[in-house]
Amino acid sequence: MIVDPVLELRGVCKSYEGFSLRDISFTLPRGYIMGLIGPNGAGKTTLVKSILDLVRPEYGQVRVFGLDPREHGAEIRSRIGFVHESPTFYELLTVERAGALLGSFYARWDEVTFRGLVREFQLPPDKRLKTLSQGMRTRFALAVALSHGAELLLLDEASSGLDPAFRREMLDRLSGVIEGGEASVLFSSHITSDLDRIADYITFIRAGQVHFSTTKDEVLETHALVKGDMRMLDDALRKLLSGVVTGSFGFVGLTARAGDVRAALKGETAVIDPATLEDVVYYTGRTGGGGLRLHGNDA
Amino acid sequence: MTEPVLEITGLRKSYGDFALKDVSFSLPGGFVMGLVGPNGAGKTTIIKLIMNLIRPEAGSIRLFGLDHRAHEAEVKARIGWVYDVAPFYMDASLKDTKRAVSIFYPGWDESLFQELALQFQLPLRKKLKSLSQGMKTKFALALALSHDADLLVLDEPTTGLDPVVRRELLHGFSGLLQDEGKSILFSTHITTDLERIADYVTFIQDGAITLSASREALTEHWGVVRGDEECLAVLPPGSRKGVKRHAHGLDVLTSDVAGARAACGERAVVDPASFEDIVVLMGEGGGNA
Amino acid sequence: MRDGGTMLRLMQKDLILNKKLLLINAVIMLATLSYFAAGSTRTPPQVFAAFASLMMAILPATLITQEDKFKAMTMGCSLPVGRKAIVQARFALAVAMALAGLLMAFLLGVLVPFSNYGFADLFAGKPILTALTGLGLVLSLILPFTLRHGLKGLLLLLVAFQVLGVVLITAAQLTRSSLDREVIEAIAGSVTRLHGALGPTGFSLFMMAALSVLLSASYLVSVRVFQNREF
Repeated sequence: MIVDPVLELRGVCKSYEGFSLRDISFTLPRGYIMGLIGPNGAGKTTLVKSILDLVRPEYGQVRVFGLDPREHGAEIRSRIGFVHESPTFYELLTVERAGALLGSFYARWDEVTFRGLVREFQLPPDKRLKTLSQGMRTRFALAVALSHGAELLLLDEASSGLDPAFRREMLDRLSGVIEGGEASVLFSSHITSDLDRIADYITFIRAGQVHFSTTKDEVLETHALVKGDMRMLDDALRKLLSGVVTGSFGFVGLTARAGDVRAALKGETAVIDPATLEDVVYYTGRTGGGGLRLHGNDA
Repeated sequence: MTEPVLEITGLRKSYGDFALKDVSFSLPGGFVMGLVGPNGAGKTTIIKLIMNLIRPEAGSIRLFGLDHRAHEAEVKARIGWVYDVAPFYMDASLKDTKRAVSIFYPGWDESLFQELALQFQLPLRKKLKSLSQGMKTKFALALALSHDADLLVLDEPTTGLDPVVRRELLHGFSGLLQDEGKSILFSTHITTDLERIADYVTFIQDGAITLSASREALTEHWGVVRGDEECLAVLPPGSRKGVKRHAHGLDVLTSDVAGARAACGERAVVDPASFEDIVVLMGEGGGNA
Repeated sequence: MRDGGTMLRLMQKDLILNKKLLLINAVIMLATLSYFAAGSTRTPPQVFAAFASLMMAILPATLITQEDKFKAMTMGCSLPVGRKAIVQARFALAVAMALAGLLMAFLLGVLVPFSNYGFADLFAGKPILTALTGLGLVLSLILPFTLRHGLKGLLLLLVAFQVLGVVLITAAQLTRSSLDREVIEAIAGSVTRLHGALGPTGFSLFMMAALSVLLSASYLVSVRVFQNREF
């Protein structure tokens, strides 16, 4: 039981034509970073929108800081720092002016912090936002999100398009923010190696449902990549594996029950390697066949 | 080394306060080269120059041994391209766009395109503007892959794609290389993608190539020295490529793992450098050349 | 050898990608012209012809607005074609589209119920020559500007004309003369004198030759400026 959740979803359902979120439940305790992973179209963005009251679920409840977004949308949004994939702002304003304008909406805006971040992120203060590259725009959005004392940072694919050096810097900063103890982070990313680095909890959304939501340590403990000879791959083992790839090298697959596989393989010389989050997403969501066939038949 | 499919020499181009400075590198046929570096380092500029979308101020680009301007139509027929921003008519349907593009390529393979469209789950009847960023990239990839191109020039083709599609795509690329001897030049921010398929990596920073080398050369000679200031002082001259200081000591990027091990001995741990280590540490905190 | 094919493919590409919008714009323009032809006051056929030619010369601008909006010239320039072929195709398509539009406009101008014009009124030397002149002038100006600067080129051109007009009128007022009218009358006068000197057939031939020279010059300039355009 988590005592002081900053974010709590219970049985959230929302349906669109051809897509639905079903029975989404998870909890993010205060002061931690949760990574949200899953394929495109799994429902991550819809979920983030429901937290901001930009989308209203049909069933279930969302609680942010213990409040209902339907009734306290404005207050919740003022306590959240939101950065998404392609941020748009007042395109004609300069970095400095846009910061000041956005800041005027937040009660806890800290101009000194903002200016410091602008310098640190090497943002040109007098350039108009429309002239900034994608990466620079994300930096700007992040600077704004970090300058109003947000208690929850929502980063929806915010790191896509950012270079590795800046991503690392951003991750360090996020770790720094939660070390202060008050803030929490919900971070969706396709670059799962970033989450390997900083996430405390992982929520895996697949086809509109929560596949699992638990601590990263547990995910990495229970999941493993199993590799071995084809002759080891009997029905019992197959049941424990998902996304099995076979080939001349033998087989490789992911298990969510590493302990059981170890027991089942007693004596056999299979290789059981630790799985990364990317492995977890990839092998769980594989379409079969191992890879895309990108060339014609007459090769 | 096979005949280079792409050979760039002394390329220069400047815009306002950005300049590409004497960029030279080459990609041998049948291999994959990754282009990495910070946002704004010049990756997209290089790709635009290769595609003759912008003019160089100096230098030459040879594709398949031919000058890329003098033989523009000929070389472009053998190139498949994907840009970071999809340059399509957003009001047109995928199907119409495919038709408009396909008529230009003698090697167009309609059944292959249909198969890719199926694998990528592309909604061919919809308009381009209704697609997500990842879907637009998949559509551009399907076009680039369907005309039997010998060289793929891809500007951040994996950005916005989820891990499943990304890895399946990379597997597919490996298949292309193995079975058909195609070559690929791609820029990316996702260094694990490089680790999966790149044979060569070209690092670019502030418009200049800082390093262009084969994977073997990088894994063999480059490393990260985790040690202290004393250790930094004794590293072989010229091998120190970047330093990052942190609470517990410092990380030094070195281009001479053996030399660093010999010099530092017990005082430091020398790990092999990942591509990400190289991108993050290169030029940091006063590296020397 | 393959150049003809390349040009056709480029034209085909533009038609595929712009078909809907081209159709809508053409229908609106033709409807406007039909309404004009059946209006309660009968304007001289040459005026109708001039009006129709201006409208139809603007029709190819649809291509440019779309291309600009989506920054899609990058796509055209990434296909296996030379820059010169792109310019050729743009000229060919613009002229073909404008001529086809003009033919439709003239036919509708005759056939629309309550039309003020009979077949012989519009399909006569004078209106046709007027229309072709209008078309040639506008296209030769629009194409190089838009090929170099996109939609901005079109605006630039319009602004340039606006400024020219303002300068003329201001100059006329400052010098307390009728400079503006004089310029227009001088142009009209020289056309009339030329017509008198060459006779109707000679004049037509001269105008056609002049328009061909103008379009060719515009094409050469376009090739030159487009080679250097960056995307």
